[in-house]
Amino acid sequence: MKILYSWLQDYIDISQTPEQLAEDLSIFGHEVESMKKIGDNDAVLDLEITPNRGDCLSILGIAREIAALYGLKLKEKKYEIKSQKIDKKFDVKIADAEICQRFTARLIDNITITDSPGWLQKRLKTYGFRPINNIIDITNYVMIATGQPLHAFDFDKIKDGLLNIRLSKKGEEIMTLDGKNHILNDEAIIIEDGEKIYDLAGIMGGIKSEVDEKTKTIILQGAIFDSVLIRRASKYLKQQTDASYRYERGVDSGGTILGVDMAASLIKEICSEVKIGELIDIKAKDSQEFKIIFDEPKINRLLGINLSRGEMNQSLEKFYFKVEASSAVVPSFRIYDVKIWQDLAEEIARIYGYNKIIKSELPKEEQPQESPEWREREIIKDFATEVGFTENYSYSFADKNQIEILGYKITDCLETANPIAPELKYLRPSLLPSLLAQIAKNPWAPEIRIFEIEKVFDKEKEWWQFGLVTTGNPRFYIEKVMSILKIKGEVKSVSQDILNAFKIRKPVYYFIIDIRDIKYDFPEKVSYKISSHRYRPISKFAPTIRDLAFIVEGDAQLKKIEKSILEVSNAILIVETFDEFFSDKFGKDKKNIALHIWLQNLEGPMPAEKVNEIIQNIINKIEKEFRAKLRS
Amino acid sequence: MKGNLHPLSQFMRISLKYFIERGFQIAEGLQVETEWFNFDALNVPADHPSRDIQDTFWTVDGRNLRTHTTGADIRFAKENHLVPPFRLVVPGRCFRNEATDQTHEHTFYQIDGIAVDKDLNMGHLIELLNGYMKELFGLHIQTRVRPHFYPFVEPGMDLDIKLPDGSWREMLGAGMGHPDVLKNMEIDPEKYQAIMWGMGVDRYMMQYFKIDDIRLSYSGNMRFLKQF
Repeated sequence: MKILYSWLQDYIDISQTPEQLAEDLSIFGHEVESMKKIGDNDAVLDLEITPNRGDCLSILGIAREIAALYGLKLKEKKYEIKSQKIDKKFDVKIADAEICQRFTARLIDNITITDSPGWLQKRLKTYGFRPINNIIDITNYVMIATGQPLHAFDFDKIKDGLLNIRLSKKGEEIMTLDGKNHILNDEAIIIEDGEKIYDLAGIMGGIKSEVDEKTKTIILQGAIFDSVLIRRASKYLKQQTDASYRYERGVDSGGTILGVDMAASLIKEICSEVKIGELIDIKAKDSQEFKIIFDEPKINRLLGINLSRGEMNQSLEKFYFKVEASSAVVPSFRIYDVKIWQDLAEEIARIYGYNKIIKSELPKEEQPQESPEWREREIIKDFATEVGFTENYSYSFADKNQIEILGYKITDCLETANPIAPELKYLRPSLLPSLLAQIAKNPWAPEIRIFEIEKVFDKEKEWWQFGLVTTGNPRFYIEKVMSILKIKGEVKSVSQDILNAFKIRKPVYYFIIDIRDIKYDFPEKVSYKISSHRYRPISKFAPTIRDLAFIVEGDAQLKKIEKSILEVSNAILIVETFDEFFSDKFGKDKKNIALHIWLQNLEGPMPAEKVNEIIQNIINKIEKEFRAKLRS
Repeated sequence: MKGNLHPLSQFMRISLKYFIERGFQIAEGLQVETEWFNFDALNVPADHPSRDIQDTFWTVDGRNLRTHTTGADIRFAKENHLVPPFRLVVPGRCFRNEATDQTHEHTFYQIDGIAVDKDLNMGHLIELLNGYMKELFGLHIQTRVRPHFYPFVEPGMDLDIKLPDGSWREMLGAGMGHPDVLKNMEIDPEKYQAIMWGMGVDRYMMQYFKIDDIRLSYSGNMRFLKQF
């Protein structure tokens, strides 16, 4: 909701700067998502209004909150309308009080359609509305100001002045002001005159009662329509408007007269020759006072504070609750949101200040064990990384062709009904398509060993799987993990057809097992170590990978060597040892290590001479620091 | 020689450790969840605009890919007939039916928690989450809370941390369990009070490791995975 700072001043005298107001409102529960300065003294604040606070979708509503926040008084405006006798009549029939609990209107005659005044257009534009003409602009203006959606009908286009308000019947049609023709179901609220349907109530007016440049007489309507019906119709017709947005969230049943009279007085102000008719106010349903009984010990206990009844009452009064001996009467604009005493507690806490609540530790409790299923999966991850596999996370979806080429029936797969992209249509029946797709994304990687533990799906069930894949290398690594976990089974190779389908140009081996089929007893502990590395950006260009082998002292630490290499140049992204073995032929207590050096350039491909220079620097540094010798 | 554990796994572990040490038991739910557990049980009825906040993947059989792990609190408590006091922490994968970009993902992880006891109040909740932020980002980290609406809590709040440039960043949502939600767990809201919170792990993890693109986690890019 966009709020113009200077517009707020119509309702309340704020001394705080727009910046200060934005900060204070955020802490008060209305997050200001952005602020745009206008000149030196004005600004538009864009507030996130949560769906429970329909009452805040207006300048008045936000002014009320600011009044509570700063302890100020609202400048309540009264509109004195001198109504005149008009020799025209309209007749309102509400078929069911549930669909329209209140209908307030005035007839306005002798209108001249013109542009609205500049000041009004300017305010409308800050909210995001395009000015149309004086009548439409005023109805929009009043909606933004008070939160009451208004509508103006061209009286002369309605047969016998008849407003029949009823539920639509399936198949009925209406063309709305935006030129869209809607075929209705039986859950929209419409207005008709026996001849035609001319209004999609609470959502958008109809072409057949449109105010145009020839309009002389209007019916100015401020009504309360049922929020659930408006929501359903708006969803069904895919037609959301500023009016429907407010009705869905609840419009103040006590605010219809304010809306209609404010608009009528503005029309009179800019078009002085108009005649304003009598106020028509039909309350199809009596709105009853809604009271919530509360007691202060309960509220104190929930919030962890210690306020007296008097202090609580004062807080509630700031939000326009009427406080009685044991209860609070909810103001008409808050009944959609405030229903239980816990809701009162929140308002009391907002005034008290959430950040003033004294923090306290939870009572001590015996430490429960990690859940066995979670612990087992994490220990499997630790084993797999220990053997040299890197953990991969991939999406739970899989491509139809890839599912089918792997031999799964697409008809056995769980399907999403409303995916925003075609690749999100099927839930994966196995980790295999995910793992192969991930391999294909790294065509230049020397060898890939990855695993994943996540859920897979069929039409009824979901279950955890553990999948390992390697490229190039023999099955040795997978078999090593299997032997640690005492898993029986056979490592499989991926057929050439499948490799082609996934665009993989290397042999791939894999093993996949359902977690529940692993019968290991997991005596180990989960590692809670966290990497000290921070992310380094990845180039859009393919990396250059060079291998180096050194003979080093038998006790040389791989971690130290890797770290030392990383320090040579910013162009080195990753250093990984892929081989280490001892042999007497290197000399006593010596070992051979082999490393992949991943180099990249953020601006383009890595120039060859730069690569050579870095590699030479690495060799020099490692030979010096670790008494190493390059193996050629 | 060793492979790398995914940064999300590493981050999830230290997060869970914090809560396990405070008496929370890990519970897990279903990724394909019923409408009732994902929405209705949490006070999010179909006819209310609060349903629109989350873009949901529906399955053809009328279930949905869970949009949070909060529903698992209810499922776990109900199916195991938990009697207070109890404390649960629920980690897991969640989904939103939305287009991906540098800051949006349709797949993400959440950690959710609930503690139910006779005398838990907002002060306990704020302290628990404040301590968690200190555990992750250091003892110097400053936090604040702001009122916010979530249908399954009342009162509700968001928690922010202060960034080095002085601005505040929203980290998680929390509140006191709504009585209707407690009833859906078969707990008497007159006798017991609940503290609840829920948070997306991906963004914390990114902040921790200084990662600038949320999609990297699921990219399978070895140049990403091998960095941590």
